[in-house]
Amino acid sequence: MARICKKKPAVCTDEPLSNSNVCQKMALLRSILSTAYGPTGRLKQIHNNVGGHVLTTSTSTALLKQVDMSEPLLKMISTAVQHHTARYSDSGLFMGIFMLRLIENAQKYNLRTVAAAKVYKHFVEECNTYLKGDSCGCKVPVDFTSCDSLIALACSMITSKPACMLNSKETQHISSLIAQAFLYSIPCNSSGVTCFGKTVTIGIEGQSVSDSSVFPGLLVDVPEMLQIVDLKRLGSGPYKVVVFNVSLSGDISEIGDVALEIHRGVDPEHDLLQQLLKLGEQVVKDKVRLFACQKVVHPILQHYLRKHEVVVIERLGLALMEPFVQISGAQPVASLYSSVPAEAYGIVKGFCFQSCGSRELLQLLPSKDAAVSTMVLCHRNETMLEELKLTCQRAEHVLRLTLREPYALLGGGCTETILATHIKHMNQSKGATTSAALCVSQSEFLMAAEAFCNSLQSVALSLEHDGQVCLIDLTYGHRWVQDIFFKTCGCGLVEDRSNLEKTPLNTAYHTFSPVSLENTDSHPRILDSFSAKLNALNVAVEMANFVLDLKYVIKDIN
Amino acid sequence: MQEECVSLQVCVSVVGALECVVRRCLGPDGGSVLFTRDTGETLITRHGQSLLNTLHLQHPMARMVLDCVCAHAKATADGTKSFILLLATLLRGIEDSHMHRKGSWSIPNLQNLANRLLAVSRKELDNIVTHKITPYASLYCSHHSYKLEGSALDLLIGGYISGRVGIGQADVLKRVLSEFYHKVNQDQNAVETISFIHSNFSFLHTPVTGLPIGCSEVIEGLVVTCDWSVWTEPAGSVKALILYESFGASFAAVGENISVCIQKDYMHRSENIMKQKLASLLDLQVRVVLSSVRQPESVLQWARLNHVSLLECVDSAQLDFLSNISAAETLSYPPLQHLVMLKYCRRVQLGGHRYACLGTFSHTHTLVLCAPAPGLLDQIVCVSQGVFAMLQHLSESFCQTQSPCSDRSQSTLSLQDLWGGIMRAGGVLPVGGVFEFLLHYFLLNERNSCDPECCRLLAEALLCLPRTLYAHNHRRFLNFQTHFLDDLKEWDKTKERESEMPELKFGFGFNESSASGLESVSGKKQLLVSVLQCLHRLLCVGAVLHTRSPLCAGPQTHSEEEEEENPERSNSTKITDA
Repeated sequence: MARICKKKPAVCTDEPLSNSNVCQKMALLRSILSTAYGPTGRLKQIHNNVGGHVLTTSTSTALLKQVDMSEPLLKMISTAVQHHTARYSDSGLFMGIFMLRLIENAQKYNLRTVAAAKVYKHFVEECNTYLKGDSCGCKVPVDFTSCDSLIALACSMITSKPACMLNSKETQHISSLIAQAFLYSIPCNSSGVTCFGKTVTIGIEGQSVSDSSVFPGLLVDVPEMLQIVDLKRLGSGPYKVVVFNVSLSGDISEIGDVALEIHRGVDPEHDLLQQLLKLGEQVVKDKVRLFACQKVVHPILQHYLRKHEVVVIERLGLALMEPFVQISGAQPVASLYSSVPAEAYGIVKGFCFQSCGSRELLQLLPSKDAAVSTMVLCHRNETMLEELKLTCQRAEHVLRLTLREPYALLGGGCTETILATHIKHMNQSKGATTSAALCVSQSEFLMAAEAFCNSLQSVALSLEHDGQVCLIDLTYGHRWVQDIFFKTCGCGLVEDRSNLEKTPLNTAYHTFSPVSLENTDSHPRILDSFSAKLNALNVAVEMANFVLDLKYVIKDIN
Repeated sequence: MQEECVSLQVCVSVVGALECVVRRCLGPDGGSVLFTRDTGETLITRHGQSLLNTLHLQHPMARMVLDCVCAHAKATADGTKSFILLLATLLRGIEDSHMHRKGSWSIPNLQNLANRLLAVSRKELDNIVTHKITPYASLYCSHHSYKLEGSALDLLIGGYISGRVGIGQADVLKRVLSEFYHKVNQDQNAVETISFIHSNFSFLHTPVTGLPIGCSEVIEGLVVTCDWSVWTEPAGSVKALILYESFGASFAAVGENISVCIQKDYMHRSENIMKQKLASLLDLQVRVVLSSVRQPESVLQWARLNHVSLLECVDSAQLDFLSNISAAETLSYPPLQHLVMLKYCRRVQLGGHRYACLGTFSHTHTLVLCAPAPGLLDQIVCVSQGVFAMLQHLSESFCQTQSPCSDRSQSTLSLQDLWGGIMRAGGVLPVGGVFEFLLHYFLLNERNSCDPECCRLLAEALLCLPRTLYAHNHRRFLNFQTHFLDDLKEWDKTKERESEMPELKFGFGFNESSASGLESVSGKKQLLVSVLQCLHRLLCVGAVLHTRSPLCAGPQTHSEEEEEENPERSNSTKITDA
């Protein structure tokens, strides 16, 4: 019996937000996140003090996953951001910075928790209505008839991840690849409920980024002993396919961890091999040209099959099973003791060798329009490749989200400034009635409004890391950088002209309703995911309210 | 063996320490507590009971209080924080009165007082609640029915959750919970619906992280938190097989240390047996298989070939629940198989996960609760569960009081509008200290009370609850009190004259704008009784003996396993009367 030990009483922290240590740590986290934000964000290198793997990144997912928070409060904030990015793949840093700013500002203005929470909640609902409404000035519809907005969305995702280390030409190349892979993953001419296809990503190290490409179908490692000559001998497609998802190694291990007692004269392994060969015979008789197995195939069976001009792919792995089944239409066979049913066979249109940089790969072309493609990404070293792989996967996910809500938000900080301007404008007309409805005093309401708008604008401010002054124009409410080389605003929608009045961000300016630009030929260069940002905005406010609400931290030290 | 004397001061300081933690979390303006473990778990809560449980209280008296609180919470699911506050104030009240009398409270004196207080709770309290407060509440509700927008149920839920979740989330949660109740109820017996939801809540909700609480919803059917291993869209209603064991030969179930004797054709034969079993399923026209364990790959292949949907690794308790609610037919062979008819089978996407959704012929719905992070989700789930526990207690106590009168009218009434009926019968009052003010007033003005001292003690202590609720705005508390007492006096006068009732002005709760919630009178009364019982237990303790031998006190004997789970009990403590 385990020794019973006395439990130690828990450690309590009273009013965690008034504890300077906690605040300091929170400010540190905020500065880590905000310095990593945007295209010119500074990279963070994470390594532990005993050596080992070094990670260079600026994405919230990688950053927060690797960094262990000592403070329970921060741990909770970090978890919330990670859960958001797991779901939406974007706007994690935005959420983190915005949330921490909301908390800081509420303290700075010395707001009552209840007042701050009520007003924040009210404003985020205001933002939701504005963003979902038709008159929204910071939302553009995603046009599926051309690739432009899809590429712009993907491009903004990649440029905001500086750890990918891409130049502008490479960025363009990769963004078009992402858009291409996304288009491949949408099944055509299907009716009813359909699912997205798969995009398999293969990374190749030490190759130039421009060698990256997208292939329809599935790319797998070339099986041993397969020569181009062998493929030529097969003739032209389509080819019959069979795929197994049980081990064909001939071991009797699947019974489990039990002692085996074997009668004299019985040789189960030999029997099993005979059975495998019987299967092989049937497969050859059924004119199968491609024999695939998730696990290991017995060498004798392999030899037999090759002799009869069947291409054998073994150790496909669980991850590739689903795309393989999709492209071939075959059903995985699990039974060794009965003949392969006719329905289980599938078809591929053809094979060909593709050499991607240093690696030779075998491409399997789908028979029907199966929505499977393989993206081969090349980069100079492992760290950058890892970041690029993740970024591409997330960017594709963001593109998929546009199908549900076919909008994108203006990037480059413009959405934040427009939202802040809109809220300030709303407050001017409705402030008094709203504060009465929320049961907070007028002054509290105004201060909380200021805290909210200030937090939004400081997210826009965090995009700038080189000491340049951020401006907001007083007509459209877009974000600008004081630089003679920039002729457009942050998102690229508005062009500069001499009579456009601008003022530094987070300074006092008169309120105005942001004019939305209509009938313009210019397209925004930088776009953000609509769904991701909307969710980030809501979750950030919810989390900020939770944190402000905390009166006690109890730490169990057992 | 160590002996530790327990005096009134010790009790006051122990309960006072608990009060300090709890008072910050009381009411809608209170805050919440973040609880963390070294394992990285975090939990956010305003829930009084879990709060006290997390503290790992050491002092035996504190643990005794905790036991009382838990017993109370188990019955009513409400009022744990008020419990501690009230207890602390009562103890302080007793201490103060001792100062005034300049005499000393000897142990017998204290015990005597405790007995008298308990007697008050039995006699006067019952009397006041039945004859004063209930008519008042009933009158109030009939006067204000035009103002009480929404049904009484919404207000009850609102009153319960307003002090338990963060600001702004109460509205969303209230809407979803009330929608859930109505969809499950479908004009059936409300009492049965509540007890059904209450006892099966763990199967009827699905938690989702990463989304704001506003995304919570109610969806039709029973959601199972795993995805179909084999999925073919079945058309319309289907026959499903519920299964608790693997089709293949599994030796794990037999136990360890076994050896298998392999004969010729062993594999071949075992596969044939499986094939026969599967073929018999097709004869039964089973289109869906729900299994609590993993099935061998060959079963998956069979399912794919025969267009049967297969769901693996379902929680077996949930499968039991499913077979209970949909009148399963049990197959004679093999054991532990049930056949159920399902209205439909679907795939749902919740928070980035694909789950299975099973439609049953009884109106099953699933409550999908969302929160940004797991710690917050626990709070939301806990509150939602608490709502139904509270409603269960309310409906039970209402039925108890009603049944002796007339069975027939009650049953028709509960079928129509249980919650409206409770409201009209005076079973509920607005939140925000109305009950405490009323009881305070009536206790002080009780003319034929046999124990005025105890009544006064109790009456004064009661006010601590509204005082804490309005802690941020003391002027408002005083305002509220004066207005309320004026109204009450007016009401008393008019009642004697039997003339027209004056407008009752109170009940604006915390927010004058938003409709205030309601709370159950019986729950409040139960709270008071529990507090007084706990006080009685506390005051009767003379000394604490610390022993090293295990305690086996009557029926509460803990088994060894249980003891391992609760090691804090191991430093056994005996509380004795001096």
